[in-house]
Amino acid sequence: MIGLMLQQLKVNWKRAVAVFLAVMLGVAFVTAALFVGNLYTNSMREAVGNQIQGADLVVTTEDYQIDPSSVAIIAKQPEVAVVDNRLLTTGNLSVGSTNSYLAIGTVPQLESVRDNIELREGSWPTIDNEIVISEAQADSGGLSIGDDIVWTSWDTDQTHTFMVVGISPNDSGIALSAMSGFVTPETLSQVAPDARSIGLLVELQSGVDAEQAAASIQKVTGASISVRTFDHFVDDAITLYAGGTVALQVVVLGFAVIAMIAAGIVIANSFEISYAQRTRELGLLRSIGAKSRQVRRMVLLESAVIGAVASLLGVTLGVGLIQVLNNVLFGTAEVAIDPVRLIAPLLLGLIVTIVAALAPSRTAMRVQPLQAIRQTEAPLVDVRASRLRKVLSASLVLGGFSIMGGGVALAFSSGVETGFPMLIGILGGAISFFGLLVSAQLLVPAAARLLARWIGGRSSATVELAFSNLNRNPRRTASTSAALLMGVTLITMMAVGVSLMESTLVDVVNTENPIDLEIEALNDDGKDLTVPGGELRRWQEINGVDSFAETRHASVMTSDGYPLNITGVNQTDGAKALRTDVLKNASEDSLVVNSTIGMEMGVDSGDTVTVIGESGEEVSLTVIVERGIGDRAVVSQVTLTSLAPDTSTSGAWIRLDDDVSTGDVLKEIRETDLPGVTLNISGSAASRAEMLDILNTIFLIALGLLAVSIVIAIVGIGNTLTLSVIERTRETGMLRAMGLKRGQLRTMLATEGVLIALIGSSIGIVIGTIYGIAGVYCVIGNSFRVTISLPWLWLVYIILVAIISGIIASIIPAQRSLKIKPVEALASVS
Amino acid sequence: MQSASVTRYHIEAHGVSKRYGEGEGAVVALNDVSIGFERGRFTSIMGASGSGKSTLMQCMAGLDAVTSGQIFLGETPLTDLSDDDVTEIRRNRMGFVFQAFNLLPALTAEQNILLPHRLAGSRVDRTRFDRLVTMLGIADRLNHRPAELSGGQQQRVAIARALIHAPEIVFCDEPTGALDTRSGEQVLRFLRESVDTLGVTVVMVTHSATAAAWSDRVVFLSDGMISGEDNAPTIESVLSVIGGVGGRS
Repeated sequence: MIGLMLQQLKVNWKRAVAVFLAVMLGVAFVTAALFVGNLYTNSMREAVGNQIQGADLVVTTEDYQIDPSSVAIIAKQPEVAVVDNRLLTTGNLSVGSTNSYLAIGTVPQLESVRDNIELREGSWPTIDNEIVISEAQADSGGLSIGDDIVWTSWDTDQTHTFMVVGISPNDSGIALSAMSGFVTPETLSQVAPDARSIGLLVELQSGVDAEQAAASIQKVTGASISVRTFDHFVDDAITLYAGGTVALQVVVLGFAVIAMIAAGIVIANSFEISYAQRTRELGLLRSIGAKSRQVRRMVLLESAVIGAVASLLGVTLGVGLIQVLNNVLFGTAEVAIDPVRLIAPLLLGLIVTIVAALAPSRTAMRVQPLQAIRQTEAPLVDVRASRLRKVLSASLVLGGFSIMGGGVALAFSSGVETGFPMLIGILGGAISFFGLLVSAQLLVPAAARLLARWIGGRSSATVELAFSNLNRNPRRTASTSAALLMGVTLITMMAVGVSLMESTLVDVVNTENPIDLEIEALNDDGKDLTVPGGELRRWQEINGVDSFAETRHASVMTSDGYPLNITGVNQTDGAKALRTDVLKNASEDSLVVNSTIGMEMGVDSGDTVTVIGESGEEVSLTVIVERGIGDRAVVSQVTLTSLAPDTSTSGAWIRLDDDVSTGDVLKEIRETDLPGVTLNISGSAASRAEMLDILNTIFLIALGLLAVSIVIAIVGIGNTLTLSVIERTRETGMLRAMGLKRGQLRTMLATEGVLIALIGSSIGIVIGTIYGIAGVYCVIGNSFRVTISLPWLWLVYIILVAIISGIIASIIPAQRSLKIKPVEALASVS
Repeated sequence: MQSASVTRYHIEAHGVSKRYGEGEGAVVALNDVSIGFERGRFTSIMGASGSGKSTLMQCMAGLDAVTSGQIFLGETPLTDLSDDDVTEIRRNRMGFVFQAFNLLPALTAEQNILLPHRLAGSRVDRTRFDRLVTMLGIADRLNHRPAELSGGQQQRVAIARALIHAPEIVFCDEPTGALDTRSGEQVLRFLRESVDTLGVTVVMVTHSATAAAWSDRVVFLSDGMISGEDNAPTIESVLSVIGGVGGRS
């Protein structure tokens, strides 16, 4: 029986291609997911190790400060060849009108370490007053090799001039790399005699074992100083971040499991069709004496062989994928592969394949010997779903939705722990989703009928034929689109969820602080500056600036003795530059404060306070308390003039265009030529951009991961179409004989593919939207007022992708169908 | 043997050969066959299994490519046309009746009958439709699906489908092969009527002497060549040629 099965498989391997692809993709994804943690660890190792790679030992203390006497003791140990005392000093870098922080350290003294750092440009400093700065420093200051920089030490307040001779790569400051400027030890000792030692990098005498040396030096130094080998040091640093690894792994694995479920649906469907088409062949086996159990055993065995081979390839593909990713991202260390994590996906693939084949194999078992002889046309399957299925799916869907609704309601009730509504929501979502997959056999044909009624009347013969083909076997159509339905539901859920989170959180950020950029121009002495009117107005011209309002600043006092920093702004300009309408009720004698200041002052909207200016001027103002309007109190220009007559323009409120890079605008603002001026920039633009960035990244990652299940679903659609083309050979021949052109045949199949995809994704979009909205309410409903905004563009994309996938899935089946000659319809029945 | 500009034949084969495979193992299904079928007449093609009778009909109907030779439908050289052009000719000028009725299982009888019009995107002649379904006795079966019809009814639906678009020529491949005697007779009588009253040319491939006796002319094939013909066929005259072999009714 095994021999027979293998022989048939060898001849009819094409029938197994879809199953094979689905299993392989799913297993590859699961395998990759299992090793993605290692990838993360490798990236950490890379980041941590980069700047100290090459050192044998790393000596540190808890507070990154080693006293000189210990340095001297360690240097004298017999195992030690070279000690690089990592000295660091802090100060300010001035470029034009902007100041920034620059920590300077010594050039790495160990040759091996130095060789590991590839300078982007230039070379290491060799003589006094030469410096290498990091790429980020160079970029932000617009510096290149040969430029002079002015640096002021925080320790001595003395100013030094260095010449840039090289640019170093940026590295995260996890290890001992808190500096982004490097000078020779001699230079450092001149400009900062008291520079702090943040750690030692030690090179050992050749032939000395690092572990032993670390242990013996540790004994000399005592417990306050830790002496570790390079590997230990990196491992310890990674352990600190291990939590991240686990979370990442769980999330990716979750998506991999979804892909595997999609694969399961496709596999079960493929087997179902495959056995239906082999009725004659299976009947023949039965008629020559095979028992029905034997037939079933044979087809299950077949699924096991396919599952095993495909899983094996899938695991290989997954591991390959991880190694390629690792090489592309880090280039160096390979990901360590342990057998346990290879066997798990292998078994999973095998089990999913066999389980998916179980139900279809019963079809194969039921084949009667007589069916080998009887002529079989493409069967019309009974449209009606079983009563049990109706009841079961209805109760699962309704029950699940009710539980989910309960979760949403919980989110609105007080005294509920955060996270609990989410758990309830996930439970309800999972139950209803399972119900939906079960009810696909009801939903999909219903949707097909609806669509048929909608476009059926005015469509061409090819479209009508495509519809009738869909209804010929509604169960098969349903399970084919179920895989896509699943993927699309989850993608829509993510898109809607992220969109709602975005709109809600952006609303929150805007309410807290409606000013995108609040800029204060200060004199170098830190005092408010009087910039001649119009100097700052140049910012209006910057690309990406939507509105601009000049502001004037002053420090005043209320009659109760509460000190206030006030901003004077023209109400019309100011209102335009804000993201909320907090200035709408303001008049010339208003004092608008945020709720924190309002609380500290002990005032409410409508109260009157008297404010005393710098030279004793008194003004009576009406308070307006708003949730957020920056950290300063806002008054009209008129009020500011009366309180501080000498103040000229000293700042601005800027509202940015949506979708503009905050960084680009800031760079241009910083580059404005304003001698002797320092700019203090705050506002919500940066935090909003960062938040949107995070949410978008989450969405894109989820999209990328869910794409695998979409690909599997497309394979499934292609498979169903191919198999039904085989099944309909005679019919296709007849249609061709009667005048169906090649183009029409191709269109018919493409329409079938598009319809299957369209139905699955439409249902998916509707359900996914419900899930997305409910999910957001469950997660943040109790803390924020959710702002509903649907990602229409994304929903359109999803539909477009569905249409394109349907067409792509029909290409191969159409090719096959075109090969059918009209003669095949006439061939006498044998 | 290039075409004579005026021909008394509706459809003609000029030196048609059809080989399957290459070299030593090649099978010759048709060997330099030249034959024509008259307009508005009922012609049967007979021969033993493997004689090439079905192949001849398929090649003449443009369903299969010839290895060499030419086919003319009136003045139109079918063998020189592209697949799409031949398809268009089939769709507009030809009708087909197959042994295995070949109805689309998902469509009703009426939808099946109207399929040629749907494929061509042409208007349906309701008068013709009503006349056909009445003549064929399937007017009360139009909303049934093929699975709900008897074999004879299915074949009559198929005949209606073959005639609905007023084709000049109808090709039948063993139209009675899967029917009982009575249903078979109904089908043949109807084909005869189509020739006599609608002026259609009918070309029928058959094993059955009884079926062939309904036609005006019988052409005999053996080993891919024309072996004879009978211009006043009766059951007896046909049986005398084929020796009763394969003669079932």
